[in-house]
Amino acid sequence: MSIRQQIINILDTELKKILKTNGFNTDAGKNVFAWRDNPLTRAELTGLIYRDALNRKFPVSPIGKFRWALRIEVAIFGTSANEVRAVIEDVLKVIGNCEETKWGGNAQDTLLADGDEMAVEKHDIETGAAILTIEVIYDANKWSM
Amino acid sequence: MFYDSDLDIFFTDFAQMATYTPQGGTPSTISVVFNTAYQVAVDIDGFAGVSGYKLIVEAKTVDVPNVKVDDTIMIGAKTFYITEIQQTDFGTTRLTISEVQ
Repeated sequence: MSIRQQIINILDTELKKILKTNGFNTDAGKNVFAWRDNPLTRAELTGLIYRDALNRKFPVSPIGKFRWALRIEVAIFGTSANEVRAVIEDVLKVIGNCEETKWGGNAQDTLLADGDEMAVEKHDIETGAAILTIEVIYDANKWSM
Repeated sequence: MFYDSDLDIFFTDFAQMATYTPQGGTPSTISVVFNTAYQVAVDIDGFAGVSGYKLIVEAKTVDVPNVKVDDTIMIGAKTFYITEIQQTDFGTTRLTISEVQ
């Protein structure tokens, strides 16, 4: 299994641990989806969709390695701005936990690429969303990821 | 062509009673036709968003001549805030309404 896949597996597992019973603010871990392209339903709020949209190769790498920056976007959905902020805090905590273990020993560093971008709309009910973007820096053997 | 008499028939056949209250004004009972429209909310940055719907009521413009955003409409026991106003060319005003202000 590629290091990239291992990092994504760890992210998926850890995001699904976002439950109040685990000391988090929310139960967003009940609705975690990878690359989902159809809208969430109200019953799936709060919910998360993540995607590894870009794996950028560093121009300079250790000898015999490729150094990659895996860009992961996590979209957060909730029923109010306050709820979305609470989930942002939960997701940041999860990423911090992953960073502590260097993503199971697979990564060199984790960067919070762009902070977060948030939007709130009021239609029949209030709905909010935010996107957190991180980059996981890791080394893989040449011609692998 | 749409005639005033058609409008009356339309409201007689399809409308329900609602209480319209302008901000700081007196409530009045009007006829509205209730409708919904599918809508995806917060589909930011290419993510899928959340499926939902717009709530829309259509009233005779003569019943709500000075309607403003944040006036309220009570339908049944539920109060809605008016969030968008669209006047048509055939004597009706479409009001997008929301449970939240």
